[in-house]
Amino acid sequence: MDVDTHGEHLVYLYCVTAQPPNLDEARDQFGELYCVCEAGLCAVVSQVQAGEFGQPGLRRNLDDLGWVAAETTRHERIVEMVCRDRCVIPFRFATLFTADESVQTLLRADCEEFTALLHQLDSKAEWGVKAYCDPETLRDCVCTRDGAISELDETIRLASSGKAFLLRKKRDELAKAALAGRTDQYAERIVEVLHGVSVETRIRRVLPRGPTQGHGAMILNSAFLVGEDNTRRFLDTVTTLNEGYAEDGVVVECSGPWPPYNFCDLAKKVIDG
Amino acid sequence: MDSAVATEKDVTLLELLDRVLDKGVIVSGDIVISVADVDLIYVGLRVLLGSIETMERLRGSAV
Repeated sequence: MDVDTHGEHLVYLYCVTAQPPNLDEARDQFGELYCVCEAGLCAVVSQVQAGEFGQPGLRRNLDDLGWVAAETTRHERIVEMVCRDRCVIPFRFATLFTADESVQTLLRADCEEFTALLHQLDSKAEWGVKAYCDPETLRDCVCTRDGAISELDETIRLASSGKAFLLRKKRDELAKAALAGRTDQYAERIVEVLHGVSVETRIRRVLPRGPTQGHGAMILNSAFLVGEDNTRRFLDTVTTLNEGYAEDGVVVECSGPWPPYNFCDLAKKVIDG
Repeated sequence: MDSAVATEKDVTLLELLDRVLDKGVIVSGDIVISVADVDLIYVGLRVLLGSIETMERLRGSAV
């Protein structure tokens, strides 16, 4: 790992395809990209400055959100352009090698897995599905429909202030329990329905409230691998889910098509450099 | 045309980072930051993008 990076170039790997893609458009926007081919596979790479992407430069740059935003966008745009006419295996941001030969070594070492994966992913795309709920709308909706809570509300209305205070605590607990179960049910139902119109499903961790503010609380973060001939049906199903849940304060957001970042699990993830 | 589908403009940086930093094939090339480093960076970015409250909470647990 201790490589002298002074004044050198590194090889940045974006994605792997079966056939060399047309890189003209990507080159116009992002500079000199080229292909490293080996074992019936083709890696799309570019040379990057060691000072920028080698350690400790990379570590420093990763603290700079502006740099990260620009470079991850560049990574994604390049993969997307290749993705338009080729099935791709996208790599994680900043997968770096010292030379083209090292990329060839990787392709040779993992050629069977890469080839099988490309076959699985052919004519399919990833769609991201996130569901959010507005807690207040959902709480009102759940409480109105819950017999026990409605009954308790009526008792509280007629109770003395001391008793009402205690009963309200009980009501809060009931409402909390009903809500916790409910958001899980929405998430499970959404996954179940969309699983029926897709090839594979990945459940991701729910992201924290901060970055997604404005949408309510995230209750589901998922990805679906959808056959190209089934895209319309998948999107129509998302629309139908939204229509059904509007009253409950639940919104299903769909983004895509994405390169299949979530569907590239290799059995062997690490090779020896 | 389809209100359920986020347009390119709506795709937030977080959505991008959620994939590009966190997913995709992970191999160790000759010289890469370790997977653990990327995870820390990811947490760090969520801190930057998040609210003050989230920032305080993650800062407390990540450092």
